[in-house]
Amino acid sequence: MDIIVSCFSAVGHVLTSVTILFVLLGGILGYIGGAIPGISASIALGLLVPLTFGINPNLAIPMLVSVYMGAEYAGSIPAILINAPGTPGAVATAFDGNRMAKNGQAGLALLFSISASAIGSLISTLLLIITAAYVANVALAFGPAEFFWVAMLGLSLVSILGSTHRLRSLLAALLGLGVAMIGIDPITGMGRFTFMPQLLSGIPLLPVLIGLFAFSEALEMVGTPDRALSSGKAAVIEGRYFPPFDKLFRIWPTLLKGSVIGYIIGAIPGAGTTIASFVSYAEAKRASKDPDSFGKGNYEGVAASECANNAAVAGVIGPLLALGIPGSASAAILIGALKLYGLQPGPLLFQNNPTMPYIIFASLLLGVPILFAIGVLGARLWARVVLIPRDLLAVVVIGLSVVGSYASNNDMFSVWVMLLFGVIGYVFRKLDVPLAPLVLAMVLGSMAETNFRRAEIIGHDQISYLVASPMSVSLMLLTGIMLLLPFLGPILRRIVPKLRGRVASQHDVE
Amino acid sequence: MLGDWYHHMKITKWKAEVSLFALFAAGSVAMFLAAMRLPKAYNPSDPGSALFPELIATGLLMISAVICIQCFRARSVQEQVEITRPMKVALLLVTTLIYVASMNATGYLLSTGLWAAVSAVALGFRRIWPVLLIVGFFLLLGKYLFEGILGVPLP
Repeated sequence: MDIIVSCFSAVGHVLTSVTILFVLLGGILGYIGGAIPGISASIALGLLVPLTFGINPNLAIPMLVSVYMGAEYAGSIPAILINAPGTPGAVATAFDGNRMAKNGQAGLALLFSISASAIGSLISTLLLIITAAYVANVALAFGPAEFFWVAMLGLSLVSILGSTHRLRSLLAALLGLGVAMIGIDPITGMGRFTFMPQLLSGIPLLPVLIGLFAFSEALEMVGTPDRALSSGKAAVIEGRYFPPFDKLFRIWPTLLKGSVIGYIIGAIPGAGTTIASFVSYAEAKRASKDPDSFGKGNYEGVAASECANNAAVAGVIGPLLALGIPGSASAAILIGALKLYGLQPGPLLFQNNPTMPYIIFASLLLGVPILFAIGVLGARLWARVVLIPRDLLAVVVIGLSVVGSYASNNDMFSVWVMLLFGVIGYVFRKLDVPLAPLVLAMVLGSMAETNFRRAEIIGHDQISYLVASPMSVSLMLLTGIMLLLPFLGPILRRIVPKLRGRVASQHDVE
Repeated sequence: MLGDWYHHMKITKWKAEVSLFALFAAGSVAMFLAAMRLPKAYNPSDPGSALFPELIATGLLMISAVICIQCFRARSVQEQVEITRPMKVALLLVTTLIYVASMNATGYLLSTGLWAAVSAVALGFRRIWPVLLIVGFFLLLGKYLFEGILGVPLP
């Protein structure tokens, strides 16, 4: 009953002209960010969070959610037009989308991507509404031991999934945990590694995020030749421009599967939009009657990829709201934004601020028609945004990074933190150390430590308290499996052929 | 020679990686030593504020050492890290550092305006007036947005 009341209250709140205006503004800004190669959803969010200070959270959060959705929608635009994905999730879109553009079907490819994105967002948001409140209700019964294992599971997944450099991911995660240890001890209240007074409140999250993602990307932009400009012009959108509903209806199984795949993979911390779009693309190709046409300009490939990467957005928001676990860098920024407004993501959010999760759900639903309209009506404009010179963009991004970091805490210390982590991010990018585990560990570090120590105090220093409930044991086993997976894989690959060989030779003897 | 360095800079990857991960190893040792000095908890059931930092430092040291060894073993591959236009990257970094250092003394408008104009010209924009006009517009917009609408005072 409470859920229904909260739902109606949220819908009533979101369906006002001011909120619609903010969602529209967020959508447009997200589109601009996503349409520019190099400006991913996390960078767009990081740069725009400071611009929401002072705004009512009931308006600011829907706007940020819309920015996130818009950036994922628009990531396909440069992928299709210049074969340079605007967001990592749009890599698979470029396989067929860019080929369609080269065949003179740029407009059609964009329409497929926008329509499939809208369908993916809609289906996954409905799945989110059904599942998130249920998961949060289950999580309300969690004690410190369960939360400790949830944090550990999140950390292990983040370090293992989504990266080919698993040891480096683990290293980045440990570095993030180390950074999270700086500041006031959550249990004793004493300072820890606080060599200067500004460190008493810990390393501020938002400047770290802006530095790692926006500033380092700006340096990378300056050091990368301008592909769009050097190649002349982006593909031109010509002729009739109306969504191809008949063709979309023909591929409804692909859209449905893509949405579910995207939602499930998005909900796994660390997996993210890129894996979701690749899995959906592979599934669409496998199920197709003409798999050879994939990669040669098949619109079903564009739809499969886009549907999944946009569905993953709602998937990422699920664990963020229900458990307080950020599944991606963008989710970590959303957590930072919620914390700035005094809102603590996790099951208690559903209890203490029951309207906020439903405002987020309602703004996700509201964003679907708005972002669809922005995409269809502004397609020719977004094709121009792709061609903004990267050097100019780098100066704008750095300017916004400096001012945004300053505004986040009203001090220069935050700006220095942003610069430091910007340089760290640049070096990490060059040496293949993934950035996402560092950020996610920063968010989860405090959750893991606080709950571990609380569990120890409640359990009177008995380690068995950490595995006292079946849920704790299940979460611990899952964490263990995830952590051992990269080491077990190569061992199994060596052992299994040997065993097979032995079995085969025994059969021969017999 | 300088012209080539101006456009491209190549660093041997394994050397860069070994240096970075050795730095991590050294940092983790420093973290462990600093954690050992942390005060003990009042509550005997609380494992204390040093436990997690010590575990993290140990993990960091072990993984850094393993990656260092891996990179050293793979040194025959001769992979290189390539930085295109390194001078421009360095220039942008240095001007930004000067900009941030001078911001409190000179204020938001002057420091940001100067930095943006200098950076744009340094990165290759030759038409000064459009650059100044765009910079001026965004400066005033930023000032109005943060101080006027959002109520966030800028330096």
